[in-house]
Amino acid sequence: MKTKEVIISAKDLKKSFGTGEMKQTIFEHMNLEIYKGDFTILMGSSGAGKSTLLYALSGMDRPDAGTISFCDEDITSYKDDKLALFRRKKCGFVFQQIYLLERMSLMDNVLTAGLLANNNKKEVVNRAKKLFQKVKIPEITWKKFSTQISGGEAQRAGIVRAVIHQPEVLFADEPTGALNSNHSDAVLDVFSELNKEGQSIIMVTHDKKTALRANRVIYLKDGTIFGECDLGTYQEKDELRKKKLDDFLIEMGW
Amino acid sequence: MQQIKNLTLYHLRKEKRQYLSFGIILCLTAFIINIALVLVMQMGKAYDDTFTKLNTANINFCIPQIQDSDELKGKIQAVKDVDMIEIKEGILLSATAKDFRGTEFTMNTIFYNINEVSKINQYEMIEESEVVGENVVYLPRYIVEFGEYELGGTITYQINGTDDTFQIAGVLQEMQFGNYGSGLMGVYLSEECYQNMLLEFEENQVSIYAVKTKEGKDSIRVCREINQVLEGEQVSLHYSNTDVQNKQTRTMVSNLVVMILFVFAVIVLAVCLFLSRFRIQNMIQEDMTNLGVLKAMGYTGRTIIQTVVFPYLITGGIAVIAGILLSYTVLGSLVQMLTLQSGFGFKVSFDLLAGFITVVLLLSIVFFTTWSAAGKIKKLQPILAIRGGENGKHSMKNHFPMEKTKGNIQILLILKRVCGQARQNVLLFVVSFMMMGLIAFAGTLFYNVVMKPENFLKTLSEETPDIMIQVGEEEKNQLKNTLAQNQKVSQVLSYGTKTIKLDNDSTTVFICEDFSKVKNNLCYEGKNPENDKEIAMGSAFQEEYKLGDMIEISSHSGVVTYEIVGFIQSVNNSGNVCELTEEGYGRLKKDDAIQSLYVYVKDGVNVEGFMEELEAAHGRQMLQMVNNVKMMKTTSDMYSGIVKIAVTAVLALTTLIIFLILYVIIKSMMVKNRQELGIYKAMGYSGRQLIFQMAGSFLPVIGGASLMSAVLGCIYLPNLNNIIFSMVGAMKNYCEVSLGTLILFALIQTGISFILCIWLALPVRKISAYSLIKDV
Repeated sequence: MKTKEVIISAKDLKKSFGTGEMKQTIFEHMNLEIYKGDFTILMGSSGAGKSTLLYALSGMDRPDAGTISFCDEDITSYKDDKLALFRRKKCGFVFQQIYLLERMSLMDNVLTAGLLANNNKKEVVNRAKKLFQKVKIPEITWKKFSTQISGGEAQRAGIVRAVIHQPEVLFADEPTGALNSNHSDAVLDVFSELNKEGQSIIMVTHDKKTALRANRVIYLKDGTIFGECDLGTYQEKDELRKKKLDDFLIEMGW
Repeated sequence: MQQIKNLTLYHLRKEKRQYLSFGIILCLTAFIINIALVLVMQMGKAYDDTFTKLNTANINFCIPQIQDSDELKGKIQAVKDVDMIEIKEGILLSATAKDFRGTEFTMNTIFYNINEVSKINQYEMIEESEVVGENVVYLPRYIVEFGEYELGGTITYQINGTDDTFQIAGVLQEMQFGNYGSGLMGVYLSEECYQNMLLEFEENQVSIYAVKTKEGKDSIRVCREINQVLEGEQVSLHYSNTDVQNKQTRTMVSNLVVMILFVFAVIVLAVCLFLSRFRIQNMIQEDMTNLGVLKAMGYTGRTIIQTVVFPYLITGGIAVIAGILLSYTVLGSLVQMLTLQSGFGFKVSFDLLAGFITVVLLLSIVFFTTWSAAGKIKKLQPILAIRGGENGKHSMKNHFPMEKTKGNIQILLILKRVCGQARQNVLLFVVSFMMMGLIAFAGTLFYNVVMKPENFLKTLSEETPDIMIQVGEEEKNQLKNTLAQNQKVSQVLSYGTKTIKLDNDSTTVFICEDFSKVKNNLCYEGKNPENDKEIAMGSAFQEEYKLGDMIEISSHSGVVTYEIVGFIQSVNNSGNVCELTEEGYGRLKKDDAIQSLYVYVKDGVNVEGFMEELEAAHGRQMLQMVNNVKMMKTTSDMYSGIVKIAVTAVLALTTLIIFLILYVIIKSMMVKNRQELGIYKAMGYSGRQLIFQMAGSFLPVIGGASLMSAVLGCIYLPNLNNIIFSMVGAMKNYCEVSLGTLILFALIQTGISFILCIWLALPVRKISAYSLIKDV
């Protein structure tokens, strides 16, 4: 069996919020490895530390203690500007609230990220167009603002923005949380397709249906990794995978 | 009520720094307005009270004692609306006070006998010391305080070339001749001393008529009628003044200070209100979801508006009261300085009415501004608010589309940001524009009063030679020719002042051989007289005459007619002056040639040293020589001391206010854009890039507004200065408004704003992208 390449390795992570009596430890002594090409899902009850872990792994936030190696580089030792450079080159983010820049068209939202990492405008614009087509956003919408399109379209544009610069890992924090079922499926299809093309994805979700898209599900409870499940490659209408996930979640106390 | 209280406290706690800044600005506004109001309300009243208490005459005039008679007194008494007359004797001399504020100061002085009791024009002895010796003098407070003499010390007067030293035995306050501006200084001598002086200067003995007019009658008209009587009786009039003119000259500087303070306060207030409006509108946008939740919970729009307005009223109330109280800490010193110029003193007391007006004015403006700004809340639909307000409100134009626009991504983002924040830009533009206006106003005054005081002095003074020489008629031409050939002299002018009767009023006439050579051109309209048939009139006559009119002036030799060719200003004489050429004056009084020479030395010549040389070489030919450079400095101090302080304070406060306002605006913009910054950070934009992006987006608006204000300031500030100075009688001012300097100020303001933006945005570097996005 081929050994998977570790892309992110977190050791002894600790993160807490607040001070004094209000101090709340989210997780402590957290150890985790993320593999290249995997679609990893972080699940768990509310307050388990899923999003906090996601943002710590991506360099969006700093852990209080411990180390995170990203492609064998310790990003916890990075200064702010280097960390920004790291995010610019290696990470892409998709948020539940989408967070498109309201004063910009969809195309400009995408180019704002793309041109930061790559000066070749022609190349970036061409890639943006291809990605828009891939996520099924028609050309007429590219010039629109986030307030003029549906949530599903906006989230797909958010995905385009997140992958325009071909990040090593795509981080997604409940990307379908605010969408209806139809839009949700369309967005998840994009993630699946990207993963199929080799894109490493780490996603936080509460949704079992979403989790089914992944090949690896990690369950967090009380700030620790409570369990882990290998679902294998995603295939539509795979009842066996569905049962496996159900059993795993029951075991976790879901 | 409890809910309103809780929500009000919530707002106050949430944005305490913003309220603090707002409070400081309002405190400063109240501080300035209250000072101006107290001065307006108390100084005029104190002046009138002292005037009444000392039973001061409405009209004072002075004639040679030899021409005085009971018959004349009867005729004056018979003038319509004359109520009471009192005649006092005195000796009128041109006396030079030595060591007056470290220099020499020449004044027309009436020496009185202290023992001569009077009912009208009484004086009030403020301080007295033990009398030692015979030569004892009691000086008005103006000479003691401004001349920096000490009670018990001495003062030396040079009269007709002879020095006489007196012991200062008392300081007194009187209201008829109390300051330099009134043109005559009253000094009181001990009986013995007076009699000695009288023996020496008997021909200078004068009768000083103190005339009380009937209640409410126009003293200027009565004065003219008295002058007609004097003319009819062929009595020489040495000097006359009215209570109206006297009050105007004695309160001139305080009026100027009040004007500056009011203009400043109005601008600051306008900016402050604009700011509070902006803050509230921003708050509504930032707190939209919370406002929606409150509405959904059943709070009425009115209740919510009250919770928004109350924190401003509470902050405003505290700030205004603090400002009022604070103003009393400086009012005492300010009044003391004004006393120096006005020559009368008063104690500032707490003014309830001024305080009340300040509180009501400021708080009602704050209330109406904030209430109208918060009015939008009333119309807000709860669900729409909960969803974050009206979507699509942003400009739907995608400025500088990246796909098509060439250029660096950073520059593009700055440009996009500039175009995308129209409302903020409007505010920033207006505030920067007004602030620059304020800087331009304060800076221009500062430059002209503190850095280039000669401009201020020229505005308020008359001709400004370096040396003034009194010379006998026979020696005049010879001395003039000799001086003109001296290597150190740039020019010598035959220039002097005399008194003539114009429109039955005693009027000072400036006489010069050639007005085109004067250094300080007093003419503000038309031109100076060029021949013996032309005359330029003072601003006081402008309502009666126009250019081209003919004016008849009567003299002993008959009536002489002149054409009015210009109007001139003279602050000291309230515009009651005129200008004639030497030949022109000769037509009026043939045998009364001017006996003074104005000497202008070349650049770099030491005036004092040169005067010593002149004294050694031509001492015998000269009756008196005055160092006018020193005298000008003293005169300048007289006017500019207090104005300097006011202007410096205005400039310092302006700088402080600008910092506070920029802080409030930029800070609230940062808060508003927090989430957006987080998104950028998540994309990989570094803190440094974002800081420059933010600061850079403010630059075009602040810079543009500041530059536009500087240019407009250069066009309109002279008009504002004209208005301010014309209120104190200076129809033409020499204040320079330099476009270069204003542009420099504009660049400094833009630079400071840029640095401030960077400083305020610095935390963005340290806050993680996650925190920026989540902690909205």
